[in-house]
Amino acid sequence: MRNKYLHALFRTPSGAVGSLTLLLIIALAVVGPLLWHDAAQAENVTNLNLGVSRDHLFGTDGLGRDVFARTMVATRLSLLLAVGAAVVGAILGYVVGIVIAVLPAQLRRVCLAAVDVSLSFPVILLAIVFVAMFGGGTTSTIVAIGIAFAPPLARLSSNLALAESRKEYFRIARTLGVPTRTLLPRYLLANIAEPLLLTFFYAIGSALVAVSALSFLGIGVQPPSYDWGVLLVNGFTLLYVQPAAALGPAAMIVVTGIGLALVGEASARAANPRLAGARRRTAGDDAQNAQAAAEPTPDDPTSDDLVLDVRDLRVAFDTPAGEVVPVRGIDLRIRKGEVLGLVGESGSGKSMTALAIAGLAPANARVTTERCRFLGHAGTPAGLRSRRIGQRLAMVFQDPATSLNPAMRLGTQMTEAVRAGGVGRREAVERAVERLTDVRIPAPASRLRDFANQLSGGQRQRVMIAMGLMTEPALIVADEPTTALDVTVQAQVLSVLRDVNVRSGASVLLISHDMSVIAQMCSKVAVMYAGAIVEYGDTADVVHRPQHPYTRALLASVITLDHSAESEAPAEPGGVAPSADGRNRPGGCSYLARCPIASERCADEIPPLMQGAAGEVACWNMADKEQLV
Amino acid sequence: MAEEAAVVSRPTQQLSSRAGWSDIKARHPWLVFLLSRVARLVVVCALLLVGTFLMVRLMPGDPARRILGLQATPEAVELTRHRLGLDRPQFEQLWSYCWNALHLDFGESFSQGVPVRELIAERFPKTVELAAAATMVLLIVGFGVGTLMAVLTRDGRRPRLDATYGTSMGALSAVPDFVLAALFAVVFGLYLKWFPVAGDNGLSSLTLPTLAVAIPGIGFLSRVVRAEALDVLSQNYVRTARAKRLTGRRIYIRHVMPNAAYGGVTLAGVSFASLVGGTVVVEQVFNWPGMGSALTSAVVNRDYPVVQAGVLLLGATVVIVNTLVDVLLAIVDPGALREN
Repeated sequence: MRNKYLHALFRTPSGAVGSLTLLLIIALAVVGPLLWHDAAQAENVTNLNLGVSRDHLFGTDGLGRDVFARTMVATRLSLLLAVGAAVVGAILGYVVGIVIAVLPAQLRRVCLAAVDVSLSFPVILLAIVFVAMFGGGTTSTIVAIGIAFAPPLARLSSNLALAESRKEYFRIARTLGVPTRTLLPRYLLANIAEPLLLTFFYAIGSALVAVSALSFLGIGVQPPSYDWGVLLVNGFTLLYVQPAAALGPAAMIVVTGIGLALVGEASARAANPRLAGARRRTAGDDAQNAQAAAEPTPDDPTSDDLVLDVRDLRVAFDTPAGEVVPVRGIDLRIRKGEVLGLVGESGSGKSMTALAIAGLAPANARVTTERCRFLGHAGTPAGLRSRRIGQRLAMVFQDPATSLNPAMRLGTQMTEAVRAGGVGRREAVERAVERLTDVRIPAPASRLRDFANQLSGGQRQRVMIAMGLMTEPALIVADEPTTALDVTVQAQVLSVLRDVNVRSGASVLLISHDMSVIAQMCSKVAVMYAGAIVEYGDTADVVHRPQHPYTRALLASVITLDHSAESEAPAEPGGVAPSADGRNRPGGCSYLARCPIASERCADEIPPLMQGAAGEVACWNMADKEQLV
Repeated sequence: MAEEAAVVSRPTQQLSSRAGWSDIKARHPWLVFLLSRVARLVVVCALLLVGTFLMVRLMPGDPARRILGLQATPEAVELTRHRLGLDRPQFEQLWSYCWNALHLDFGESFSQGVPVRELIAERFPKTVELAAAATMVLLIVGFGVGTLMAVLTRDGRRPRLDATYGTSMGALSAVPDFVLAALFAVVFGLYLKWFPVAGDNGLSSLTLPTLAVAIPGIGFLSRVVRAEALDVLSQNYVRTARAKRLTGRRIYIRHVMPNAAYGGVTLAGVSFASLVGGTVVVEQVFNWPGMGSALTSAVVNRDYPVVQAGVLLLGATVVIVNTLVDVLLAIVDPGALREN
């Protein structure tokens, strides 16, 4: 733990600068009063309010004392006050917070409400109140600021403690009868100590500011004692005569504050790597444009009824550990009105395929195709110049709860795409009502004014489908549309999807890990494994006469009522699925490690998709013998 | 998911009145919401009243003695006690304190001998002016810079700008408002002579105090807005919006901004409290004739009626603004209201 922090502190330049600054300030606090005490006290009537000079770096004050020496001496008191106030605040706040966390629920709610109320007051105002009550001076400043700091620290510690006490291990320990005197320190405090310490560290910085502010207002440290705040306000009265007397102490406050902030940030980063900088992956436009440009295909007369024709689609990512290739060259051809299923286990690259086709792959993805045509136009749907043709591909995502904008009315969300295309408001609304009726949403007109959270999960997914239908899509890509829903709702959504396919003639690319969903819905199936298609054919063939050993394993894992007695099917795929990166991939078939029928050739050569008994299969042992060379 | 499933649902006794209440809640979410916020506001203000009353009573020593000084005769002290009503029972005192406070009557200032009400009438609008100006600058610059940085540095773009921004904003929020105020006074007031250093002469003298109050908050708010906007950019519904082939502008304005604003406004509400705290300090630096500088000099002079009035008014302002922010949030996201 200690090493982790030290490492983090000095790894980044800002962390290193911050730590060095702090060390310097602490050293100054130790030696400052020893070195400069005499110079700080020496009054000299001939040297009143002098400006900056060699002898007086920050000039002199109204009594002829050297401001630089006084600033150095004040380091100790300023730091002590800040640490003292932070300690008082932390003890009060953490104790109150943790006590609140272990109170019975009713009482806890009342206490938390009280803490929230005190939280809403400005800290400095609270501190002023307490200073007014205790009178000024060093001790009362510490106590006043400590008390004023307690509410936020109490809130934080009670939040942390509550979150911790709701975790599994804690509940189990409590159920097992671990006594409270062990439970509290060993289970609770030990696990929230890190954020609490970090916060304490931040609190020192804020306390320094608050203490200086009180002194600056003349109600904190009282003469003859002095901290930076006192020096600052003294200097401030001389602002016109010699500003350095104010700027010197001000600089010390700022430098110390920045040092504390930098160190705090660096250690927070060490404690929580997610803070290290948001490197989020979202859909980007660059990749899409790039791939659209690289598309010089001539027209192909045989592709008339092909809605989508993709050849050799690859998706690759560059990572520090090397190239990762989740999709390694697959072909997809979807005909008008066809429902194609893309099935495979999670991590097989099927969702990435869908995102790449829709042009929604992460910004750092490299998407390449040998050929890509959508509705006879060259380019991916996303890369197409014409927005309207691009809109003829609709997406339905896995999680309807997060895929709808929570802050926008459903009507606006449904109509915005066609409205942007020039359709009038009334017409767009009428169309939205129609589409909602198509997906069997009751009272569609009034639903348009609702927000997503007012719908059930199944309704949300049907709204997503209806929203996709607004632009009269030629292809609906449904990426695990029913995975987040329970079984009865699944059936509803699937039947809506089939309805839509029959009525509007839109093709559907249905992606699922669930063979039974695919079997219900699709005319053709492509089975995907480790970024490649291993079997392709008519659904009936693939389901009843699976060729590839992986397909067989996948089917065997589906328990259906009429097939439950069949026990001769191979067991679930054993072993570990290969990772998508190419580093430790052997030269041969990617299914090799889990395959029950592997032969020698499988270890040496990657099997391409070949003609099988029915449909196509990428397996040396199952392909038509005549095809093999 | 697994955790949720593992949570054993406790059998709760459903009271009939509860069911009725949830029924009302479902039918009139706005009414229930507004009532609860107003109720909270009233409770907090009541607590503030009691708190400021107790503040003076809990202090060691006798207020009358404090006014008159140590040399005063016992008779004079007794007379003053009577005049201040300190010889009456505590509850009666509390009642009349509250009653008077509700009429903005806080008695006479010990040090200036004028009614506190007059002082407030003169000072409070000045603080409101400063706080309002600073809030506006804070929100406009904070949201603007935060959103801009999110757009510029999304998906790990411009890593150097990202690092510079993070460090400089961190440093900016580490500079205390009163130090900033002093620096501004020296640089822009004294050397460059762009703005007056002290007093109240219209807009030009409002500029420096406003910036001094707003800037530390900007460092904080813009970082939060940026993080919030980045978070929204990675949400599934933004992916949905992209799947609909909307223009980038529409995606930002209609899908990203409103959702990022929610978190931003929540924090703007929180930072308003520290902003009011900032005015207290900054007013002192620029000699701004507001409530804050009146409050600090009252603390120094032990002028308790003014301290009470100042704490009460500033505290109530913060609480009222926070309530308004809550209502605003409910307007921005009515969905949350229903779940509330």
